Amino acid sequence: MISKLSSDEVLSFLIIVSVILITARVLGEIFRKFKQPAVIGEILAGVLLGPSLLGTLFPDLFHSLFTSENGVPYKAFDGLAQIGIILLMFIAGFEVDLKQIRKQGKKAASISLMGLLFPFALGFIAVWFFYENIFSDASHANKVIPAMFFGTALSITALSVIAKILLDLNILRSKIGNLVLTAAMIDDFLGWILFSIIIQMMGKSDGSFASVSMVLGFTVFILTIGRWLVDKILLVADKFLSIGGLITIAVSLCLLSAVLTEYLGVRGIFGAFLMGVAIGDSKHFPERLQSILHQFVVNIIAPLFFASIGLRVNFVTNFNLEIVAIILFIACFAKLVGAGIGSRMSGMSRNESYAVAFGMNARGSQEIVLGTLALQAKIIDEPIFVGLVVMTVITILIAGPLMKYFLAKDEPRGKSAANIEPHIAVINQQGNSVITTAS
Amino acid sequence: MVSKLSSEEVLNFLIIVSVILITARLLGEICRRYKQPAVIGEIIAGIILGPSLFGTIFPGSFNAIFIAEPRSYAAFDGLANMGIILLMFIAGFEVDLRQIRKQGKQAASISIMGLIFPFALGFATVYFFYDRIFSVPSLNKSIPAMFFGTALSITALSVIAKILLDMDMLRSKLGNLILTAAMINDFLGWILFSIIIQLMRTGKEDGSFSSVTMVLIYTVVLLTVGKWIVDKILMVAKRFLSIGVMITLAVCLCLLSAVFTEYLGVRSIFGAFLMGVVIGDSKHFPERLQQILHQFVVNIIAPLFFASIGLRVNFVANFDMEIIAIILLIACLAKIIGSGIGARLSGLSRNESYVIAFGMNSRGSQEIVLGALALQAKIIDEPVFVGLIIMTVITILMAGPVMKYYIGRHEQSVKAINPDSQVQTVSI
Repeated sequence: MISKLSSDEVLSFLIIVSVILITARVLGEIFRKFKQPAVIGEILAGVLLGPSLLGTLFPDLFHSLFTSENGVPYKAFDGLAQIGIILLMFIAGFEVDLKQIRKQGKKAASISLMGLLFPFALGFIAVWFFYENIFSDASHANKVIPAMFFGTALSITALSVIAKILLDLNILRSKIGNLVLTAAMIDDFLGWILFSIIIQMMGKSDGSFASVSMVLGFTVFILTIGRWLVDKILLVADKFLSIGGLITIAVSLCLLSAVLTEYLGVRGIFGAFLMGVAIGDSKHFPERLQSILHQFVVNIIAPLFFASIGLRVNFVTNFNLEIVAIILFIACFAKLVGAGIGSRMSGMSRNESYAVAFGMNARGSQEIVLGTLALQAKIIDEPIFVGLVVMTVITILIAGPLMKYFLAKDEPRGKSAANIEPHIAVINQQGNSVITTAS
Repeated sequence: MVSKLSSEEVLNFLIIVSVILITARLLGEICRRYKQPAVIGEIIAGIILGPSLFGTIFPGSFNAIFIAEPRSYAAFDGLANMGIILLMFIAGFEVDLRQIRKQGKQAASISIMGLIFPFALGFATVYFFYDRIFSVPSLNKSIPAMFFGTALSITALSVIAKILLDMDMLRSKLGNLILTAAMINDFLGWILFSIIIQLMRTGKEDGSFSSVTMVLIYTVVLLTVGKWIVDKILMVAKRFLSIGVMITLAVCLCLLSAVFTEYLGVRSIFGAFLMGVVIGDSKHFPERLQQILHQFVVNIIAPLFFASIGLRVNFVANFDMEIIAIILLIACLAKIIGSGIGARLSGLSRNESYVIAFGMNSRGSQEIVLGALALQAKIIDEPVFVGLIIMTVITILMAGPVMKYYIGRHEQSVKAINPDSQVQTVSI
């Protein structure tokens, strides 16, 4: 007989979901009020409810909430949180605009590649040479994997966070905004491929070549044949099915892709992300459907995942100032220098380059997803994970104000900055007018 | 350390969700194509994937998917539970308190006759033919008898609304009467069921009075003070918050009410349903939000619950022709006679009364939810549960065609008389 939840377990499960959802969303909204990404508040909710605070102050309450009934209700909650992160990555995939990458790719490439290679190299080197300073458990025989992970973690940029900051600064559709977004997309994309390769390499020490080719093969497959197939499926579905049918198809495709990648040994979220890219690229995917998925995932399911992070790790006992400082320093230094040089190379002014560099420096939810997976796969330990989360929060907090500062400094000479190349999309002219009216 | 799912469990969990979601929605869409409620297809999906078919033919892969990692299935069950809670929440939106107040008197006789008659008949049947239906003898016959009465008296609001919509008579006089009567029925039915669950929990005869009052008090408080508070909250929220926050707010209120009722010992879906009624009644609850919730729940989460019903029970092994026949006969007889008499009492013609009676006769997803809960609470056993489901499916299938037939006859016979069928065009 199939096991199911008993009545007490259901009650406990419902309480967990309610408490976490309410706390996460309340704090998330508070952060949003202060123009910060809601994800910070959601993580904070987990820290407050988790072993760091509630578990220390009121251990009895904490245990009766989260570890009662042999932990079965929490497992059920964890399933919900997993669906949350898969759907969130799926939606993040919508934001990657392949057409724009193709169009602006060359210009954005130098920002993106420099912003990827530099942090990757620096992160790799830092771990390689200062391994003992960062990792408490020095028994790692193989330094390559933690070093590669670290490089990747430092090189990912938070697409959604940047988009939000650009939107708040009202430069989302300007030249800089477009460049930063495209560069971030490429970064994200390559970063996830890199991470999938690392996860694959971890499984077997000898099969690194096969695993790399598998990840790349899957990526190429989804982006070519898969994309074409998805487009055709959506074309037919759009003609014959109701909006409800379309939602199911989209979610089913996402789940299938997630299952397939998880089965291949890459994490499920990578498959969900790729499928999101493929589906978001199809012009038969209605805007309204995207909005329904977006609202539900961002407001109900995804917060559960981010709060669950804080529940897993004790942020107080695992807080190591040295590690946090090292990670923060390398992360900011590498990304700022790399992305800064890249934007100078693509012909921007000094102040514009600073603005781009700080924009690219902001990490976000994907950084944390990456960290969680690495923690789960035992590539990193808790203090490093805490360091990554703290680093993410700080880079997000500094990005907005600093970008605003450097753009303001640039404005006296802003005539050249607002000079838009003729072949960039029409929407940019709106951005142009925004900048000219501002100056 | 809080326990979490391992990587294999996550993979297994994802496979379970994908397989069930895709099968359920596929069959659901096929049913919808043939103008039948999708819920029938979703239940069939569970039967196909469950021990009845897939488990018998391919026991190896069945075990690998659903049983090998018990915690993965537990996680899925959590998801399915969320699904049914959110579905009942949405079902609550459909109950229109204003319309009940307005049309209440007219609909009352249909509704009450359609409730009391099946309840009495169901109760009497179980009380006197207990051994025929239940394989396990029980000392206390009154709880199964009460459950049976309740199960027979509930009408499927959403199914009727869909049928009426397909027949293009949702806003006619008959359509309105049926809908209002079904709403009242639903509402009273759930209160009854909550009381039964409470009676069972306490087990003793002395605790029954306090548990009944608890259910009633919660209902009354939520529908008066709670309604006012929720309305005020939504009014403030609508002014200051984005649509995203409103969604969270609605879901949080639903969860809180669900947790509270589950804590009281009534099932959580009752709380979700009541909160749905209250929120749906507020005029500060935006249409778009309702849309988003509706689409996501109906298309993604709720199918998981209906499919999970088929997964739990072996429909082949528990198929008992005698029980099914008895249940089907009593259910149809009681409801059709009861609602028919009620309709005649409220002054409708003979053919119109038939239309209403067959409309009220169709059961739906809520019947199945009720059955699943009763099975879980061990009020009924598997064969009876299978009987309830088959009865539900058959009453749904016959409602549309029979109603159409009697409407045709009604229109023929009333050609001479001037029909005042547009008097009650209340917006729904």
